[in-house]
Amino acid sequence: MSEIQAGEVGAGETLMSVSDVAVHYRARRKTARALDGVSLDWRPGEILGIVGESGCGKSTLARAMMGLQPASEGELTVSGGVVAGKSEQRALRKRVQMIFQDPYQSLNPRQRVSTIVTEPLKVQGIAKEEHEERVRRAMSDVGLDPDRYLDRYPHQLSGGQRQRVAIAAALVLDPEGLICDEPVSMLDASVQAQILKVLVGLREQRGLALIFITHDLSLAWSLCDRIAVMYLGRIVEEGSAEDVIERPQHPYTQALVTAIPVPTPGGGGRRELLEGELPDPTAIPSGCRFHPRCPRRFEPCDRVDPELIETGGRGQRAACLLHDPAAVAAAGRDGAGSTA
Amino acid sequence: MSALLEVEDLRVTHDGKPIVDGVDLKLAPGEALALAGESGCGKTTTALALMRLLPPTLTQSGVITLRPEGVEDPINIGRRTETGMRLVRWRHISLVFQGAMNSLDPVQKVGKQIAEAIGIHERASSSDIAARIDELLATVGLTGGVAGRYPHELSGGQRQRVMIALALACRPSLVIADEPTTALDVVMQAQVLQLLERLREELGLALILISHDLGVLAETCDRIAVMYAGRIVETGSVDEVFAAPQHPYTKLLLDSLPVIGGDRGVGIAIPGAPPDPGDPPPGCRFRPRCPYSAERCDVDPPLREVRPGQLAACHYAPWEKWPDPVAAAGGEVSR
Repeated sequence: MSEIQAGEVGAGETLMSVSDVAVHYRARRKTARALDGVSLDWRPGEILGIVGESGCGKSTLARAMMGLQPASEGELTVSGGVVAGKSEQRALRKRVQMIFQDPYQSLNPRQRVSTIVTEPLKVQGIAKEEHEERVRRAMSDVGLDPDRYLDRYPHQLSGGQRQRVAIAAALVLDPEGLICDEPVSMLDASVQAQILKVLVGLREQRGLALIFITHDLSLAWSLCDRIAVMYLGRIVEEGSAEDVIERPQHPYTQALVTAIPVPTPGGGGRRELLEGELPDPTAIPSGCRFHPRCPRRFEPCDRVDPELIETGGRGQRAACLLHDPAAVAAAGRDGAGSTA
Repeated sequence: MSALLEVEDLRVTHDGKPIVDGVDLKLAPGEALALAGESGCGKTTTALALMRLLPPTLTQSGVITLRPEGVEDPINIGRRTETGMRLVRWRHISLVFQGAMNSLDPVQKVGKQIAEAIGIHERASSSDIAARIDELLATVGLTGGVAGRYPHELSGGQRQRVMIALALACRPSLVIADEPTTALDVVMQAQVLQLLERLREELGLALILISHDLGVLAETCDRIAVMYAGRIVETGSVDEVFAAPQHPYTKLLLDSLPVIGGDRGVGIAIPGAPPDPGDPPPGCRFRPRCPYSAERCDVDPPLREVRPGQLAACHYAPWEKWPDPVAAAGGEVSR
């Protein structure tokens, strides 16, 4: 169980903020809007979940936050300072690191574990005397005995051990934040919890802030303090993990939660499923981008693009006109509370 | 009712080393069986053996008997020749495999690919076949227009539906679906699962659903077999096994899953990694990872009935009440 609760975590200050960030890809005459105006605060020591279907832009957001993907628009700030040039990006990497989904592809097969974990120290120009101690500590922190594992090659490790090595290589720089892009989805069910324990333990011991990017809503619910739900390059809902998953306010989040398979026989029951599929990011629908699939759309939804609107007073926000009293009144319709 | 499929002592070896190590299965007509387990436990190999589609480097033995409705003599799959198998595959058993949506021929229109599958088994006029294709596509919730498209013009979910339509093309009595939804998103996954359920109801299809996702299996299946290191370690009705698991592996797998509305936080972590079925640890195969292991676990436990209709390969089953795994392991297992 996480001991630090949402809200208590560094309330007010931010480790990293993105404001109005967009990533557009040009292909022939079309433009794909992979990320289309996203603002998000990540607080020190916070576990922030970013969830959504594949193609919603969650990995693009992570790559933009790491500076791996140049943003077409918008701004990235770390502790109040804007990240603009190469030197700031280099400084950013000292403070925020990232691990990826596939530990079979993200480690160099021809390097020993010791080389892999030492590499970031060399890149950042950390004094050589510190290397050994920092590497050994990072290995111990991820639950790998340095004496046993430092001389091995990646092919001599299991999938879970490889992901631990990737985490150790991210930790040697003593970052304040770690962005994890689907960190356990390639691992066996019985091994997943081991890796999650390591990550959550790092938050408890080092106060490390985490971003969890996942399509697994149950997982996000169980681990995160806050969750942001993405759809077609936008955040459509955010709030505390309990609020967003147990009391979703956006029809899209409601549909996602309904679709989660429940590990209790007959637990799913009959459900209303979302029809259709994620539209093409080169042809984003007018108005609310979710309206063509939305079971609760009403008159203005095909022309008004909703902002995130406060829904409960506890910091939960949803980009849905059902939460805009003026829009609801104008359409002569019951608001969000009536059937949600 | 006699079983539609009966598998006795199925073994698959590679260079003499077992991958599947003595699996028994039974399936009634119209029944849905879940085959659960982690990667490398032998579930996909079992599926391929049932279709006799193993690569030539693997050897299979054991008796596989299929009794489709309307076929007089039982089909002995294990002893059929390759030519004989061609008459059985797709006609009586078909397979939707993992990532199947990427196995459509990219340079042929969808309709043509379905027509080809039908043409192998039946002589039918082209207008009959066209009508059948429309009907099949409608069954899986696609419009007839999809027949004239190439696979790259379809989304992942649509391609997976085409694969299911292909599997149904010759009206088989059993469909094996190996991780049919793993590559899909939650919404698409729920749509495909709902489709499989509907097809079972409408066509009286029997289903073997293979997945590592216990949530997916619980929702779709009647019975479940849990595999570990090449063997079935627990089997019974889905209701019973999920409510009262009788093998420590099943119990810990269920405990490791987050259930929305329950306790938040990281679930139980099972230490170590699954063993190689070709080189299993001595005694009980789960022993090195089991928080409940004790002296009797030196001996390999047989799969036996421990509660009515529920079988488990554990010396200490039936488990009326599970001790706390963290306390039982003396710190080896952790929350």
